[in-house]
Amino acid sequence: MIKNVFKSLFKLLIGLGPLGALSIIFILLLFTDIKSDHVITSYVADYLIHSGRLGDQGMTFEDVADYTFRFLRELNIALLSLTLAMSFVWTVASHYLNINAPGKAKLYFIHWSLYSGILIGLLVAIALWFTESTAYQAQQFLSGGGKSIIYIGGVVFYTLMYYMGVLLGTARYARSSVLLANKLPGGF
Amino acid sequence: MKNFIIGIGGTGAKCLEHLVHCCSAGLGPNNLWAGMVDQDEANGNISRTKILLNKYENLRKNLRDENKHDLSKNSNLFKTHITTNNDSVWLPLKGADPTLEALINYNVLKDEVKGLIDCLYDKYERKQNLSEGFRARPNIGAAAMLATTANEEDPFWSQIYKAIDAARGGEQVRVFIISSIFGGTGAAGFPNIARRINQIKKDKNVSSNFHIGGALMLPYFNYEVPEENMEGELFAKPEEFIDQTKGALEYYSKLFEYDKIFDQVYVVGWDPLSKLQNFIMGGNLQNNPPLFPEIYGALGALKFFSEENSIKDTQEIFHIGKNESDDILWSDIPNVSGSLNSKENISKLIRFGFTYNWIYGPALTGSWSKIKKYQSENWFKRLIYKNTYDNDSKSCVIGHEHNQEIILLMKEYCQDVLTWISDMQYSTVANTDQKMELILSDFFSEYKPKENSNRVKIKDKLNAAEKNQFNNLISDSKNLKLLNIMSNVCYTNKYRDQKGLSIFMDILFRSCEQ
Repeated sequence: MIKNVFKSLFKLLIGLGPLGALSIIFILLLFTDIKSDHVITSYVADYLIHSGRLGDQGMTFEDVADYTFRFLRELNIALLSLTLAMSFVWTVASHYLNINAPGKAKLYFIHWSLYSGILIGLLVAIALWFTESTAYQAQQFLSGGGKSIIYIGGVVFYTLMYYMGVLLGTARYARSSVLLANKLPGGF
Repeated sequence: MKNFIIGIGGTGAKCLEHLVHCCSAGLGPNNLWAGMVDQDEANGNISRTKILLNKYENLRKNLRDENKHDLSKNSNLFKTHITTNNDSVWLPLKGADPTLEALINYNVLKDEVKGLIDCLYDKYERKQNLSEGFRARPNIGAAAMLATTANEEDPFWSQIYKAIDAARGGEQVRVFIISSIFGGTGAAGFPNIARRINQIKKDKNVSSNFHIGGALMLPYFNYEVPEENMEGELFAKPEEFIDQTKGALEYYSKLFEYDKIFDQVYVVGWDPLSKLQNFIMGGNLQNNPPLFPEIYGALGALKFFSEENSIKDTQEIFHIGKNESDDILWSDIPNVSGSLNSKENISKLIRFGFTYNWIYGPALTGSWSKIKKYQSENWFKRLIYKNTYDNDSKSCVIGHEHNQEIILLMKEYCQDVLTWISDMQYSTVANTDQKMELILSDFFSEYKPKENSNRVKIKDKLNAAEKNQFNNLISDSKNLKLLNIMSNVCYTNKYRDQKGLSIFMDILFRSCEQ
């Protein structure tokens, strides 16, 4: 059983790999001293920050860049950690689902849906907490559109990453519990 | 190496039943010829083993067919190639209603020879109808066997004679005989058949490569004989078993002292005796339950056939019996050899029987329209769909008649395995202080001790709670849940040379390993 769990964890890593790598690169970039002409700087300044609000206070994006990058960095670390933890837990737990007859795995689709719903809820809650609480100074300069991008982008990106992970990582005999996982080839 | 086993009488046949199941579990040699000797051909014990042998041969032939379904040489499931004659039972006396008088042509004997015969056999013994066996009269059986085993033309004995010739050609040949020391057929057949084979071996100047082994079952069961309608009947009387055994042991002690007939003898005893609930003198209604000591006889035979068993020049006698406590456990079952663990293999077969009968068998039974609902499941895709896909019709043919036949044969065999182990567990300890805890069988079977033919009834369906008791099926320290089996089925790798439905059968069998 343990051997099979490790096989699944390896497949989970493959599933999480592409989007996970993007997320990690993004976080690492935010740790570095990003130049003002970098594409990320421009994107954040143009789409996430309310330039009018900054102007009212007599500030430019350069003044709040550090706060904003820290905010984005920590938000992504939180979302990534949650996604990794939740997909890891599902992958391991899928080996212990009480599937004691052929055809019974389908019943666990409900469990998987609820579990995935909880993940989405938590992703939204984290994004909300970051953008609405006063814990981060950067949140006061976020535009309405910027917040929407953070909510939707973050939730979609990390949900997709989770889905790719559990799609490949779920135990073979429990694949019918995950949307479209039973379309994978039998030998995979 | 050529291996031969001869089960003599009802006990011999019942030991063969255990042996066949052990061979299914992979404990047997690569090949084995099996035969039975009993005058009571219709006897329920003999018929049961005969049917089981047929099922085994049929199922093995289907699952080890290089063109269609092949388990592969690496698989232990149905490993032993068991062969039998067209009729696996040899009757010492042919014809309807044979008697000893007819056999020895008593009426045409000279008066002085008649007088000698009268000294050896009384009137009842001479005239006793022997169509239902020798009724605990080994003196009758001995005469019958010695008079008829010499026939080299007989298809049954010709196999043994050919094997003796093969031994002269350098091939290793091992012959094993199992019978009870008490009773009629077994007690008469065991020494006489062995001596006859030994004599032929000497006549053919075979001094090496040919070995004879035997398992002698000392009394291990008794029963109550009803008082009504038994007057004048000859039958095996349980109260005489011990005296008969004592006499027989004295005889064997002398025989073995002066003549090395057997290379290895396995002596099995049991105390307290198991109590059979029904007494039937013979015939098709005599359907005694499988009992635990018989498995010792079967395992003795398998140990004798094991390639790890080096046979010495001196005659070896092994004995085994009940341990000191009244609890019968897995640890009481000896291993066949260093590499063949009896408990591991038998428990794997029982788990396989359970999962096939109630979990996978029903899912695979029926037409494609019924089965196809599982087609997206990993086990089905990997083990069934791909391996039963017909390129001509471009479809999965699992629902076709020839595949369904194998699926149903296997289901029937699995029910036999579960009935065998449950019946053995219930019947060995019934009405005694003994406790047998090899498996947990109450949740899937019902035991009716007074019934003869359907003593153990296996449930048709199990509910979810009953299925979840699977982890307690084999009484040992570790748990193996159904979900573990289902998971193993999806991950166990197939062997390269496996084909067809046999891939699924073998992977399920291997998945049932602890």
